[in-house]
Amino acid sequence: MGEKTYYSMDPMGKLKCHKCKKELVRGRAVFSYLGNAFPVELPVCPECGYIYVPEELAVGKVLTVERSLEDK
Amino acid sequence: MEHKDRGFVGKHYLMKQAFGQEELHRREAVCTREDPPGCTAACPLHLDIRTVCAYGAKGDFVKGAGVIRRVTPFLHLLAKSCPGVCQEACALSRIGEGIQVRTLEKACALYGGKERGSRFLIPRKNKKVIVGGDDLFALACCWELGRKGYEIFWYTRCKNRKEPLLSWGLTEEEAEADTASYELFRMTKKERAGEVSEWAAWGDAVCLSPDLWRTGLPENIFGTEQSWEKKDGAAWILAWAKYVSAKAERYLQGASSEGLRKPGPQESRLYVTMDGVEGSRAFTDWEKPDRELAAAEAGRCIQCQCLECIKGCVYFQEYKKNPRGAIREIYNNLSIVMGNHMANGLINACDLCGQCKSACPNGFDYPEVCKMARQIMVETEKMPPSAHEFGLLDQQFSCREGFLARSAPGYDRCRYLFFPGCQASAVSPDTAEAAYRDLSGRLTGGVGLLLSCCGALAQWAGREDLAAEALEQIRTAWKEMGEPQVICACPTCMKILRERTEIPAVGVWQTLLELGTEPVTEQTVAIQDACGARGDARTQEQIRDFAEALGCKVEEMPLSGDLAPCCGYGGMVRFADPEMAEKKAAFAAGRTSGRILTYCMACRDQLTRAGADSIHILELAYGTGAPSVPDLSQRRANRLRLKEKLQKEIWKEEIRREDMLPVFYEDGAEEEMDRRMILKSDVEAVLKAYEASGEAVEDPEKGWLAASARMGNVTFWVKFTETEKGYLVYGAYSHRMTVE
Repeated sequence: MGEKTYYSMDPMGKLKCHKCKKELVRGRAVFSYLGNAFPVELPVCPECGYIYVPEELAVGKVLTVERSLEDK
Repeated sequence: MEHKDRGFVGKHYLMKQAFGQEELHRREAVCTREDPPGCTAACPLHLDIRTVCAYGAKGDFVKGAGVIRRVTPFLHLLAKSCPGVCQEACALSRIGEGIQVRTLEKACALYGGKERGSRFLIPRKNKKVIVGGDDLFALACCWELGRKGYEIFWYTRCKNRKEPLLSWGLTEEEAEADTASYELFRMTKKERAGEVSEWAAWGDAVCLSPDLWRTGLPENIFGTEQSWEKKDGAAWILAWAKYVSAKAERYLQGASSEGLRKPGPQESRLYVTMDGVEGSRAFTDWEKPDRELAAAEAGRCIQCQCLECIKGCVYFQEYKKNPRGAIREIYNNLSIVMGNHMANGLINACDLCGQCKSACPNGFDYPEVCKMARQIMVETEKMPPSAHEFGLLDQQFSCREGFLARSAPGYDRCRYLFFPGCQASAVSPDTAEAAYRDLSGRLTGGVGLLLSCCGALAQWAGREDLAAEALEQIRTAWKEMGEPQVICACPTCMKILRERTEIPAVGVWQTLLELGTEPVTEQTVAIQDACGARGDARTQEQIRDFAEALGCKVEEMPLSGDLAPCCGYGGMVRFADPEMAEKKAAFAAGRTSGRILTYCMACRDQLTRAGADSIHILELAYGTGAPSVPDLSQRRANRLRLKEKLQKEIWKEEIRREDMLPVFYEDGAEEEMDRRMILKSDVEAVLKAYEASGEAVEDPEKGWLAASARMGNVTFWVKFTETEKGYLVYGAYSHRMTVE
């Protein structure tokens, strides 16, 4: 599972960490729910590691996966 | 109720059933929808006349003929000599003329009788059957056993297989058509010879015509025995041939003939929904069935079925299910150890309102099965966490931050305790306050106040632990106040207190009627009966009396009283399946274009949301309430404000409130948050977390910040900017997954 990434999102220099004032970069993250984990790539602050979950992802794919895991 | 033990299956999967298969079958059998309609039950051959009518109505008499020929090949014979007993058993005969099935049989013979049936492959069976006789009975036995694959030897004096039919007045052509299927069998015609008792040794089984039957024959010889009653009409003879052949086949299979039913009419339990059906006269005479007229006659068939539970329930209509089928799906859903639980949505979208049970002629209890299923899903950790969490947190809010229990000022013990219920405080707090002040002013002996939740939400969610906790808190407060009479403003609270506690509870409508009420209006209203008052005729009557005392002219809507549809709030559906709740509300609201008077504040809220002109009976009495309904955040704020206002004004208590952050919302943001079930308090918590940590993401192009905070099982994100006046929020969203 380690090698595979289920979702990838590039901030493309558009977003900044408000605290560190650094541009967010594509970084590794893991979504977990009900004992299941999915490695993904999300916009992350290179300095403090703050991970951003964009709205379209949260109300879209993440919600769909949550629902289907709840019915497992 | 048998409960299978909860146990671990495999290594670490929890699994539990609500009941065993036997109980499932018992529960299913309460529903009559699988019972044959009256016509089929009365028919000696139990022909599926309903389906014949369905095809006939489309003018398809070939398929209609096929339906009859699945049961008997003698279509032309039936068309000539069917006794037509089904016509009297037809549901339409109660209000007019029953379907003229003999006409339809004739039409099937005329317009579909020449078609050959499908040439299905008959399995060969390695056993010989001797059929003895010269009549229709013998011919029918040959067909019954021949199509099962037995090799048939027909001992007869007949010249050919058409002969028995010709004696019933069929033409050569008709007799040929009715016996065409015999070509497919392994069948040999032989001259009758020897003694009947000797035939037993020549074949594995023997079927005898009634005229050859006598007692004392070997055990492999079957006939009509003494029970044969000669009845008019070929249908009875065919039915007996079916019965005798079935006995012979059971013998050939080494099985007992126990349970085989002798020919005769059956009782049909099927309840027939006849709404809007008017009596009519038959279209045609059976002697001369014209094709179009026969089709029109078939079209009069109402396709008998029971729709009592479905016709008023949006949930069953949306899911295209019936309670009988649904409990099997639920049973199967609980049996799944690994894999997708496809019926979770089905289980959680029922409002548990009990309308279907009241509507069912036999009282099929579907909500009970849903309730059990939810409890088991909670116990086995299979309940989708997102389904009920918001509702349960709302109950927790009512029982904690919103909780207030006070005896009347100046009284340690009071004679009465007013319990408006969580919905009245949330939807219309000024109404709850007005009622409390009115009761306090007019009742003697002190009126205490209880702001809390009766635990209905937890009960609906299958969380018995939380339901019991809520009731225990109420019981403690009630005892401390000297066990007063509780006056409920919500029929569900009243029902739960009565059913689950020793607390004496009455409805506020009863108390106000006793105290006396002045007319305040002259309007005409229709009453939305609450699911909490289902089966409670007294409450339903008191509400009507109270409405009339207020000056209302009461009109009944379709589906009122015990058959009232749920407003969509019940059973936690508003949280588990908001779309379903909306559809239910729209259905309940759409029953009248006039004003709807409710006596449950959740009904008032849901119906107003669906666009109805609805008002709670207490709002009407006190002239309180607002035309609009509050969103999720306001519902909480209302409860809190009511509590603090009464604490301050009535019990002179000092209230300390935390400083609120100055937060403003962009147009449309609040509505979107409400749809996403995100509260303003959630947004404030995120902003406070941001103030503490300074952590956020910045979009320099669009100018907003996005900050997040994890609360309980949910991560909330807020998009905002900081202005001079405070925070301006553009929107919020959430996810349950954790991310790291």
